Amino acid sequence: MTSFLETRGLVKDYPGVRAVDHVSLEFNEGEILGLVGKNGAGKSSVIKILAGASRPDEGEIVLDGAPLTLAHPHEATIRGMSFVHQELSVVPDLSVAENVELGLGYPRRGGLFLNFRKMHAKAAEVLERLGGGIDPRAPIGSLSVAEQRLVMIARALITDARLVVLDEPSASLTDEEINHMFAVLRDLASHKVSVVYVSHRLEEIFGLANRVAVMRDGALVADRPVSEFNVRTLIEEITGADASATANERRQSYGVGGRPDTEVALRVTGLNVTGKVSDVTFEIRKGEILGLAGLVGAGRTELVRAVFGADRRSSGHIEVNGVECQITEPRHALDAGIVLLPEDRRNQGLIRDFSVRRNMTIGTLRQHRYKSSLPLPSSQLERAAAQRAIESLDIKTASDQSPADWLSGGNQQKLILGRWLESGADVFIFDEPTQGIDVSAKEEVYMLMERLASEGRSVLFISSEFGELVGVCQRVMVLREGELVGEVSGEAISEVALLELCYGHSMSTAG
Amino acid sequence: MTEIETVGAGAGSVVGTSHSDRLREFVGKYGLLIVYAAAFVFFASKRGDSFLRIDTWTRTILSPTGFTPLLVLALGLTVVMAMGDFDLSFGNMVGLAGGTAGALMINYDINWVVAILIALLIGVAVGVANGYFVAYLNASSFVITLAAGTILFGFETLWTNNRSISGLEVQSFLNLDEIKVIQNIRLPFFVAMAFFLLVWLMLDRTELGRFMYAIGGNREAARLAGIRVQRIRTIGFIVVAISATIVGVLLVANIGGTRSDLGTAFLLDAYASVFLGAAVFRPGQFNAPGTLVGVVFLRTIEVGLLQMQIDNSWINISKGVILLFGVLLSQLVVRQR
Repeated sequence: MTSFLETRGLVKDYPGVRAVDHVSLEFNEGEILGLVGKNGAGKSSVIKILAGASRPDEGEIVLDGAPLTLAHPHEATIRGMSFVHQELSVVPDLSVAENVELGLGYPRRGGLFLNFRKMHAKAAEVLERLGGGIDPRAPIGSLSVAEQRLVMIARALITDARLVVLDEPSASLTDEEINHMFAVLRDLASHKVSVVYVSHRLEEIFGLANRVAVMRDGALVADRPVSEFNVRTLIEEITGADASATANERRQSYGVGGRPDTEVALRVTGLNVTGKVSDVTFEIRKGEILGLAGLVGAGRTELVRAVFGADRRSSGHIEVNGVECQITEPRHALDAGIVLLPEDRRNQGLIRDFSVRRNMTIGTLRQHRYKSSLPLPSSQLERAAAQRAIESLDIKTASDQSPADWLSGGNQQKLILGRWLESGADVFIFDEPTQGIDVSAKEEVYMLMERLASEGRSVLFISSEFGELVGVCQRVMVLREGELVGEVSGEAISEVALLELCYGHSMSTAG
Repeated sequence: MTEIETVGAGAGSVVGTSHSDRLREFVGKYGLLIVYAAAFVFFASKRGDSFLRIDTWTRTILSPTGFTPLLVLALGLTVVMAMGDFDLSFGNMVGLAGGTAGALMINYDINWVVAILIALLIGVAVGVANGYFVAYLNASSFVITLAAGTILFGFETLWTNNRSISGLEVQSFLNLDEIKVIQNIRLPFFVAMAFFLLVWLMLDRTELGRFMYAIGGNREAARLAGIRVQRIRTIGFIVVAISATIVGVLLVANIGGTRSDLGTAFLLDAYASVFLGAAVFRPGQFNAPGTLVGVVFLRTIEVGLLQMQIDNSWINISKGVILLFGVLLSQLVVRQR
């Protein structure tokens, strides 16, 4: 096998994070490379650089021995690289053929009118190679997800791509559809195409790839033939050396740990969200920090949003402190004592035009009236409440009248927590609260969760950084493809244990 | 994939308040008032004899047929626009309310109080319908209220057989327009000011108003903070419809009859006033005091230019230019953030 494309020392920095850390990777003709790593390990950042969608801060891409600068995604296409993204990038109203040839220059008649006959013939030819059965004239919106993905692969064929990159292509595909796609990819490889397959599903990597590259914290940590891995060693590479640290070791470094009560604060029974979450049942005790782990797309956010009434659930019961609650909108959840700190705090948490003070009091405005019988907020009481929260949470702000926009990510997170501190809520749901904030702010967030728990309140903590869950939680449950697949508690919590559940592999049996 | 943000930036640091920053902010907040003062001085020096007389103001600038309808409608509009919605139906709602009240009194001899109440009831129903389609069924407020306006116009012409009604002689009803409260200032001016106070207090002093601004700031965040977004947006459309009903009734009392184009003439000026209003006091935010300034500004320009016997075409051009620059002025501050 000959290498035709390589990256040399790619580096990409985002503020506060090195997303890609000196990655040098070779791509060989006719080889299927499995690219794996945790959420945020840098896989997508590398792919984006290859696709010309972002530019590296350091390093270069070398094609056929010559350095290549990609200023625009279109150049990657011209150079024979094709990308099938996780989210389908099709134009639903256009036909299959129009999608296949979109942006590649449709065949024309007399330079002006589209030559549909030729267009359909060209598309039909490549679709035939993919197993056939797809009508080039059909609107692409009428196709199944699997078929739409094949159409995106057809795009790669029609451009005679030498490199085809697929990012999580098997999501929402059935086993049969996946097998068909694998056959197509193997056929591509036999025609000297280099295939890069990004997936969280390790069994697919072992079933398909010739070579596996593992990324962790932006760096390439392993790059070997697939035969040199087994599931255990692969998971170890993915998680890193400290993955097997036990809960206690972790907890010491985080300095937290709770003493949960026996009384149940929140009980969710048989919760379903069509297509996202199936039949989830769990409970949180008072004073407990319960972790919720899972890979991207496992349905964690969907689950908690449904519990909070932010999204519609198709079935399921919610009990708070033993009382069944009818929750169909966030107001009901708040009245029942459930609070959600949303994942996307800028777009779902903050009211941008509002000052710190007004952001703080918007959820509990009723508690700050001049007279309890009149719906008139008292700015004095609001000011006092905001000051209390700023002090108690140590929020760094010039004044409570500053625009909330001016705060740093960590302080915005604390601001949104401050909104609910005096609401008397019993259950706090934190959805990725430490995403995008710096290390010391993260530690403050852990301490605040711990404080809530020590006050007898309950915390549900969603995180993609499993190390945090290991360090902070007394119990962690794991969601995979919308289903609750397991739970670990106490001493048994470790990153490896969580990842095994996430990937659906037991290392002791498969390893 | 990676969230991009400046870690730690801005926290605790006192944001620069240099000389130019403060000047910028002052111009952004009060620039429109300065322009207004300049226009005022200009008109006073050119046509001081008539422009500075109280009579001129009460009969023209603050007139029952110019000032009152514009202010009441613009205030209603301020409420929905604070929540990020539009209403294009209120012009025709004015016509429908006027037509309803007028037709009931003239054609059916119905008591004027009952006639007003029925018009109000219809107004509320229209607001609820607009709100239901926009807030609950998640349709674009632009399209829904455009459709509603067309439908309302149809009903109005149906009610009145597509004819102007005149010869209304119910004196107690006509008094709504004619009663002089203080000196020569007639009742409609005070109705408008009372409505102003009401909307001002509601937006700036009540929980409801705070929720409305929160919805305008970030609808999804407001919902997740427990605000009943759908209900409150619907209330906004009801406020607009009620403001249109008030205007319709007062205009019918003024002309002693009704025409189908009673309110449509105010549509664009109302929007202009609200946008101008967002250029003063709280740049970028629709607010009641700002709207009042916007209305007075537009009325002054219009009357001032008329007194100078300037062609109507130029009045329109001037108003447009003022709107353009007023909005740019407010951007001075907003863009900085």
